[in-house]
Amino acid sequence: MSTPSHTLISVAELAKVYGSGETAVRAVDQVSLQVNAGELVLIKGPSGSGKTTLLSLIGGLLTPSAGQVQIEGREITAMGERELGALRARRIGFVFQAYNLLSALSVENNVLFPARLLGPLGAAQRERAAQLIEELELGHRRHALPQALSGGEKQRVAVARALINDPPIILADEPTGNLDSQRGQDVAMILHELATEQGRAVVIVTHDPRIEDIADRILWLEDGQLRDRKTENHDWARCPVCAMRVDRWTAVHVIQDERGEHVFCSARCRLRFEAAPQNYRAVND
Amino acid sequence: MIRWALQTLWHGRGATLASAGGVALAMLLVLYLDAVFRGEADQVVAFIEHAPGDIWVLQDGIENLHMSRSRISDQAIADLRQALPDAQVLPVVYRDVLVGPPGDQRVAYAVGIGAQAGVEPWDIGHGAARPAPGEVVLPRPLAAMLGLALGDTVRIGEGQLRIAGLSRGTFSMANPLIYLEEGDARNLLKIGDGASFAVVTVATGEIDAAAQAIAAGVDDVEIVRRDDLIRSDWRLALEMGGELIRLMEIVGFLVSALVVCFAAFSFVARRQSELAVARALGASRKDIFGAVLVMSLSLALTGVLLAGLAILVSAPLLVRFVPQVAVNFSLPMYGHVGLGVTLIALLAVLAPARRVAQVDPTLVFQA
Repeated sequence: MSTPSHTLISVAELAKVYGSGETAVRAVDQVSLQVNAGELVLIKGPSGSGKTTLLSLIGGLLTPSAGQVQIEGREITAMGERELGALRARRIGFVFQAYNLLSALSVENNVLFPARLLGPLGAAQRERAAQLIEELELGHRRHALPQALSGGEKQRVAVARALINDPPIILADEPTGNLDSQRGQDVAMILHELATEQGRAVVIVTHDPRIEDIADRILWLEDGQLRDRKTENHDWARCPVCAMRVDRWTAVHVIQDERGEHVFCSARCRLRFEAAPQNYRAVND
Repeated sequence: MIRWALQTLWHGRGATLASAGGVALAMLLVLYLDAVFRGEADQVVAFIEHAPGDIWVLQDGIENLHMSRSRISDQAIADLRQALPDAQVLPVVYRDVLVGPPGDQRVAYAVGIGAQAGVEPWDIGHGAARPAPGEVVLPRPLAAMLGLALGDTVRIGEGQLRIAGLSRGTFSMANPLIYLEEGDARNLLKIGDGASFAVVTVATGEIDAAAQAIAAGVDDVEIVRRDDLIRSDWRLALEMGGELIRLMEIVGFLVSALVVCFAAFSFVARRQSELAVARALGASRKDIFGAVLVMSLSLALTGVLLAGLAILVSAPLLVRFVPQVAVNFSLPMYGHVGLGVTLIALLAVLAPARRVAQVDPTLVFQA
């Protein structure tokens, strides 16, 4: 794992143009940004603003029309297909809105899929998969097929899959987009921990306002260009465990005690609080 | 990717088995046709194989028993005995004849049974093996096809004979053997004197010398060694179906190719989004081609195995319930067709090549 504050993603004057001539569309236009290890960056913006295209370019899934993308200091825009594939498998973990699990594979084999792309599996990889499955509370679903999983479980499997090769970079596209409030906050918390506790660079494309508070930076993309972000109004409270901002209107986990009302971002935080409430102070936003 | 390809293939068991079944059916088409012709060819030479003799002496220019008529004179038989005084010489009356009532006649080969033993039916199911005058021994399937039983009378050429025995192993569609008393045979087949051919048995190791002696002492005859006659008749019988077998082989391979190509193509088409996920996670196009190849090969090999199993199950049932059809499955033919189908599977990966090359990893972002 890279040391915190080390730049893992560096994008310079990146552009992606679809079509040509009068019908040309500049999906990404002269975008420059850097993301450091341990940093969680949100990319927000209206639909069709180029967020997903930018994420695809950073992940090496698309070839830019102009500009550069460096992953851990290595320029990727000139890499061949095979080299780029190996880079994605080793250095970048992807989390998608639609989960994109492979339907014929069990939870365990889905998690191990990127590891298998790098060669025959070793005991260490199997052990890591088992550890991730346990950490993400999927132990009881290890042999289940995706069709038997809930949305939240599917997304946790996708997160485990993204982490199996221990990549320093996580790219997530609307990771909470298909999840209800509680599950969405669970996943947001996990992504938050990947950045803050494990030192990974996490880039999230999202419309979900719940994630804003866990972000170190929020970038607003409009018409393919980074601009000043816009604000929206919510009835915010802070989770006493992780300090994530939670919208009272949609919060599911709320506890009332002598100190007042505690609004939690997820079941995980509520359980932590209930186990040792004296460790947390009431937070009123 | 290989694991994923196999698990994905067998995740949809129904569709996979249907495709493999299509391959198996195409293979069975070829293998059964070949087996039927081989079975027929085996039956065509069964008479020669069960008859005694090292050398068969036929009419000059005749080198086959099947699809030919031979006639040698009494003089030739006498010269033969004189040329080989220590050998056993068995003149045989043998000719094609129509069996059954007008309108339902079948072609058979009639064998005349004389006082000398040697060419009787080798396996009798019911009744007598040696017909008396006015009697005939029919192959059981032929009697069944004509709706006749032991003791019934049957029209042979222009005569009516009583069925005295029902033989086994003497029937083929092209060459059923019926057995008549020699006098009846001569009369009904209009063979006055001489014989159709003579079967000569000599002491071990004297075949070449005997053949030379016959060539020197007997005029206007063809001398054919037993093994050569078997080989020649077998090949002749098989060649009669050769064109058809080759045609059906092409049809079978085409059907297999279509099934495997379609399966490979639909696999890629249906799994486009999962292939995109694999590409996004780091799989190369080569990995995906490998996965499609593994899938095609698995499908083809499953088809080959299913065809083998179907033969193991159906062949004994066919022999039991359709005895008039002789089948002889050949392991080399199974291997040949199986290899052909496997090669087709290797080529089938080219069918979805364009789609594989065009798998777009950014599909993963479609919610």
